[in-house]
Amino acid sequence: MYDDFEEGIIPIIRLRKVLLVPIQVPPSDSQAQHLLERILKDLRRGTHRILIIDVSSLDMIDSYLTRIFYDIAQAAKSLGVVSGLVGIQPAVAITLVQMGIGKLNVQTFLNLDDAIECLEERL
Amino acid sequence: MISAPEVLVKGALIRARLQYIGDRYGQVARGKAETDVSDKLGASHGILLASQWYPAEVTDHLDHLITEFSRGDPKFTWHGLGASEARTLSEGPLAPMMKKSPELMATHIPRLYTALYNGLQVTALQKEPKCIEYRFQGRRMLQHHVECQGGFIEQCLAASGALGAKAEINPARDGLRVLIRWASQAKQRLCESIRVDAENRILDCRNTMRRVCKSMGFGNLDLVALMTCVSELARNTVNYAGEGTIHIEDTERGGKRCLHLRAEDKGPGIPHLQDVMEGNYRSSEGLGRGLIAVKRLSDEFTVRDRPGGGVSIEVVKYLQEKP
Repeated sequence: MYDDFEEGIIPIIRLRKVLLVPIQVPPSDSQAQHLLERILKDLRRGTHRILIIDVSSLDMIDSYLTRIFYDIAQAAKSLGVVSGLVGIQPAVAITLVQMGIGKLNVQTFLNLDDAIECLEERL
Repeated sequence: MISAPEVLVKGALIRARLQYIGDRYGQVARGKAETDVSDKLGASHGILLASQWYPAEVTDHLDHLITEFSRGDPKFTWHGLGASEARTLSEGPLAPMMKKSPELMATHIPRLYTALYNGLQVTALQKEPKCIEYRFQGRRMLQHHVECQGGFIEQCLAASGALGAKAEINPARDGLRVLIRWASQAKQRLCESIRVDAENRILDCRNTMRRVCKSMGFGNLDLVALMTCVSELARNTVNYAGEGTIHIEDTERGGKRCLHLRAEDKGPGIPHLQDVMEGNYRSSEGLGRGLIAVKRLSDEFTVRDRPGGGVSIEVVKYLQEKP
């Protein structure tokens, strides 16, 4: 029963109808992929209507991560869940623009309050 | 650790209290040594004026002094802080030093001013960014202070040690020279090679990149860019070649300091390179995006086929001189 403990696992916070995912360090590709699966598994239970990914402590978002975020958002959308990305650091934002990924194709918000407020309205 | 400006403020505050004591007992005279020293030696003399720099210790000192004064002990005399001394504190020989290295000076200044008030001449020279030389002049006093334990130079050295500094005392003709050199940050230029053979190694690459960037002093923006670059390159290596090496080097090009990032593998090479770099080709795993991103984020970018198969991708990012 102790074997399912995974080191450095990204927490998923289930808060009423919000599923909050604070990512604290840039995850490895498999961690990111695993995260996507875990989120979808959680969403499928139907208790959560809003998905928020907090990236405020990420000091890097590369092309793979942007793609994962996009995938998560799209998948959530098809499940009928509204989602958003919160707190992209300014330096990361500029880097994304320079990379040519100016548009993430994911709804973004300045902070958590904003995100919950806007997303609730959209429900 | 108290920083200098704060110390100054506190100094001013404490000064008021010291003067108050002075007025109360009306005994304004020249003192010569420190309370703790005199305690140990059982000798005469007064007050460590410089103790005023120690907010935590000050109250104790003052209480002690008040007791001593009220006992009417003639051994304790009072060195009042006149206008000229007050000026010494803010404009005196050590004031510029306080600005330059507040941390160390907050530790030393009390002792140094003790020296000043004990009739020594003190000069502080910043020889290198991390090296200070104090010159004390006035030999007799020095002898006394060096010899008695807890003398101000002893204390000075102990305080330096606590900050990871090394001190050497060199006798000079007219006094003493104390050279304090603290852990120099002159690091060796980093040069790291990471073997990338599994997806988890991408994390190692990012962490190494973060460390190298920080040690070189890259700004946050460049740090993010370089982290992204190494992440993309390492991923390409794992996904397309299976394994390879990432080299991260702190180096120089044309006299300018830069970070040199090189990803080498023995894989199949990059097909349709031209198309990839022009953005006309997209793989399902996003190779096109990654490589273009790296190109855009770097100052110099080269892709080269390696003799014997494989690819070598080089990225250079120059360290911007801070204005």
